[in-house]
Amino acid sequence: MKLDWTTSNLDALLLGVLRTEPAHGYEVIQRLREASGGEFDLPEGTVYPSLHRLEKAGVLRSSWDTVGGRRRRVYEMTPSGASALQTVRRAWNRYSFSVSAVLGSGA
Amino acid sequence: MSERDAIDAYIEALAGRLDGSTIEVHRKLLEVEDHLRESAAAIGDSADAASAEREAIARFGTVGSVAKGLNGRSGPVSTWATARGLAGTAAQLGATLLIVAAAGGAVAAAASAVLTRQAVYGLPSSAAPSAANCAHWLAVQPSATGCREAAAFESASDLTMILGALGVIGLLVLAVVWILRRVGAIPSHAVSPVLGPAVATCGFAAAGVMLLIFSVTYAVIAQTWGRGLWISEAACMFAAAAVSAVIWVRAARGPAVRAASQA
Repeated sequence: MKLDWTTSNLDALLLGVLRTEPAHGYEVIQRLREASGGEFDLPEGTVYPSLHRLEKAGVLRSSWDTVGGRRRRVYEMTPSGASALQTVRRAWNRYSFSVSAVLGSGA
Repeated sequence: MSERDAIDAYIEALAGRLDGSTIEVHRKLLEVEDHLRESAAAIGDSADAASAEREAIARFGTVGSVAKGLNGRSGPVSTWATARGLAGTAAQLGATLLIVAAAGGAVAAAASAVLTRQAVYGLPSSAAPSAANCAHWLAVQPSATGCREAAAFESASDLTMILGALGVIGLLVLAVVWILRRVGAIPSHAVSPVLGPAVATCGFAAAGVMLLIFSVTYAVIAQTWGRGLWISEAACMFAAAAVSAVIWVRAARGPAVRAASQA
């Protein structure tokens, strides 16, 4: 059985990836892949709807940047995004602790 | 002209499936293209350019799934979006019909300038106008030498004005539909791009045949007559049917339809 935890938690993961410095879409995916040791390798096109949704929610903002003659949209976290990430992190810690307690150690 | 690559084709197909204002769609397309080019460049270190583009597209997702995500949908098109799409297509078709009818009126007016108004707008010989009608026509068309000539003059005057007004209304409706599409109020994905041209082709061809029958039978329909008028209108309807057929074929071969069949 394969559970799709990556997609269902994508908004939170994107906040985590963007917490340190701004990035454009392709870079966001690269960071997500590297930070998870290759575990989070989703269809790349699925990231943009989440980025747009988070921007509409005010937790990200974006601006155009020109690199090598090509325009690209760069996303960065807003103060409200930093606050949202803290809330998400606390909720995830509680949740993962509870799940681990229910699943047991597997020994 | 530069050669189109797989990413260009993907972007073109995606453009036909995205909702929203022109600026929103432009932004999404720029983002996707930038992503695909960067991804292909990274893959290209170990593959040829065409293979790298195909691999980048495969990693990104199909046009259908990406369009659904970017349009903020993961399910089928909503009933409301379909209704707006159909209303937009219907308004566009109605407006085009008015403009084609106005063009037929203009052709008839031009024909009457070359021939005679009697030849284009003349009453059929079988029609027997009442004395009251004759008196009215002669009163409003004092330059006419008889009842039938006055009837032709009056018909020419009225129809030219009415059809011209219908053409202006048609242009205004088309402008409104265009604006509503630009701002995203009429979604582009909700209705197949072949629907409008297909209905227009059949509708205009049917109207052309009907008008030809009117011309052969010297029909008098709702105070409207004139063999030259019917023929002029029929010619414009057939021309519109031919143009619609070309648009239909192009739409059927277009990227949006191909992408829909692959989604």
